Amino acid sequence: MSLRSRLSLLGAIAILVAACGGGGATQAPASAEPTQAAGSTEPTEAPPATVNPDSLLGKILAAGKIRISTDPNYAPFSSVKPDGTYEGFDTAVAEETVKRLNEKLGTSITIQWETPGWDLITAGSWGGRWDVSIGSMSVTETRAKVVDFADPYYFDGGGIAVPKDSTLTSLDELNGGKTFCVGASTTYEQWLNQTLEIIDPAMIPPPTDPQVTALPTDNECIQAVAAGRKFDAIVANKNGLESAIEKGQPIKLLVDQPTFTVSVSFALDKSGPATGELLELFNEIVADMHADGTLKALSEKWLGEDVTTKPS
Amino acid sequence: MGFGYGSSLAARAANQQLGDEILRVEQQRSRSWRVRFIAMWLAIVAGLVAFVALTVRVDADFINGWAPFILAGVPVTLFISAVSIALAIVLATLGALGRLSRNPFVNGAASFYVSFFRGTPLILQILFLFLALPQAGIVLDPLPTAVLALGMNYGAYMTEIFRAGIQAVPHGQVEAAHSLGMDGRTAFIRVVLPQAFRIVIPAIGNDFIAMLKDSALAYTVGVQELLWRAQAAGRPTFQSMQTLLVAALVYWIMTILFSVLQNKLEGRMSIGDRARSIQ
Repeated sequence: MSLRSRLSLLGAIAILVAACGGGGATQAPASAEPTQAAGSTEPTEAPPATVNPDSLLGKILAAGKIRISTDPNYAPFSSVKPDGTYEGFDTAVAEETVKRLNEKLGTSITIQWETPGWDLITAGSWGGRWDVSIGSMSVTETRAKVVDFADPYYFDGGGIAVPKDSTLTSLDELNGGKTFCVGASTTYEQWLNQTLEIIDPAMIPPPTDPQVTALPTDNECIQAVAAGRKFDAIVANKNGLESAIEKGQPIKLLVDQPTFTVSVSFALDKSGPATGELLELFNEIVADMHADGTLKALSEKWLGEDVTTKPS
Repeated sequence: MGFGYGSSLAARAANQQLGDEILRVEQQRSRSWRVRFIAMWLAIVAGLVAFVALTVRVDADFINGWAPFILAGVPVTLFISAVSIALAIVLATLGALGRLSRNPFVNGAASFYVSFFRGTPLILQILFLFLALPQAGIVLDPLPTAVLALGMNYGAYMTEIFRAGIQAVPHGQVEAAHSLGMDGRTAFIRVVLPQAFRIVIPAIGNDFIAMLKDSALAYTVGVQELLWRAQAAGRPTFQSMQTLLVAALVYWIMTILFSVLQNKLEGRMSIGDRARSIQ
């Protein structure tokens, strides 16, 4: 085979790969469809003169849209609706935040949701595929090595649930080789494996010698127990567990006390463009939303209680 | 000839009758075989339906409400599978040429490609392309990432199939082409490749059908194909069994449809073979 024909085959591959790239944008209605106009203020053509075009904020302004990652497997924080749009506490907070960002900057940035798996979001190095995670990421020292956190918008309490017919009644009984089910790459998994790096004096010490099964999301743990699989306990977000109990899942909280409480924040990729300006704006907006009761109202609407004040 | 004209005619008529009788019995036998074959299918399907009806509480309203959302994953799944198999065919053609090359560098590169992509799990390749390429400054969206990984992986398997297909074309064909004045390249493209393609068509069809299901792995990087949608639809209300069942049925139906298509295509491609064997 001559060089020319080899080159033409290579050309064919290049065209094919290019076609894939193009197809990604048009053929995945998934990521494009649920784009929602989040702001209604007058659009300004030029971004503020002070914004560095190479920074994350500069890139978002140039694109006219902000790509926000959400994992819609965590109702009532984020879940998908039959029409392909998203709803939940995190989603509402993200929409409100972008609305306020537009008001501050006089822009009309829209939201484009991205839905990578949770373990990919917490891994960092997003490669610019999405700009920010507004999806209940707890602030831990390990994660802070790969992402920049804004100021907390709520405080997450871990909860321990046991099957409805469980005879366990106290935390002490969880020690000594009990079986646990958790969502993979969650702070609850880290808590069980004693790798959780947070500062919380009220943290319940993790049980000794836990036998941990990590499923793709917490949700599978609850469905597994409902289907008849035997786990001694499930460790997950307390609000999520309470919501599952409300929806009739055959589990109950072991104790009312949270396993640990941790700040939850928007996260920005450390390995991406400079985050400073956007982080500052996010901090102002989060402070405003705390001060005027917006976060409290959203929390009460979606979670049935106020989780936005730091427990003392 | 010992037989008269009349007796020959009578013998022919008797022969005809015997032939008809044999045909009738054969047809009857094959019909009753098919009836029992279909009865077996129906019995298993009925058993499965009964099992599902007894174990999974099927909520018709819930499924109706979510069906459009889940089914919107079908074009995504088909698109991923079709583009990936096209990429795999191109890579496999190149790979097969490389594996047949006498140039040690080309052959080495091709055999490394086959070894690496057959030697690592597909899901790992998808995650690797998703996480590792950006470190090199190449950022592909989830969908092209999945297509690239699926195409490379299947291309590696198909390389070996294509190599065998090319080698299966009798050498006489090339010699005949040479004798007509074609150079090596023309002979390969015009004579060997078309025949090799016909040989590997069943394998490509088979791989496409396998790809339809392996494309579900694109779910790991957030491509909203059939499985992703079934999962996202089921989790909020803890009814994953039902949505997964819907997805399973859709995958299965797609597979059946494409198997029928593949049989038709194979039938068409083998017309030449049958004609030759009759001669």
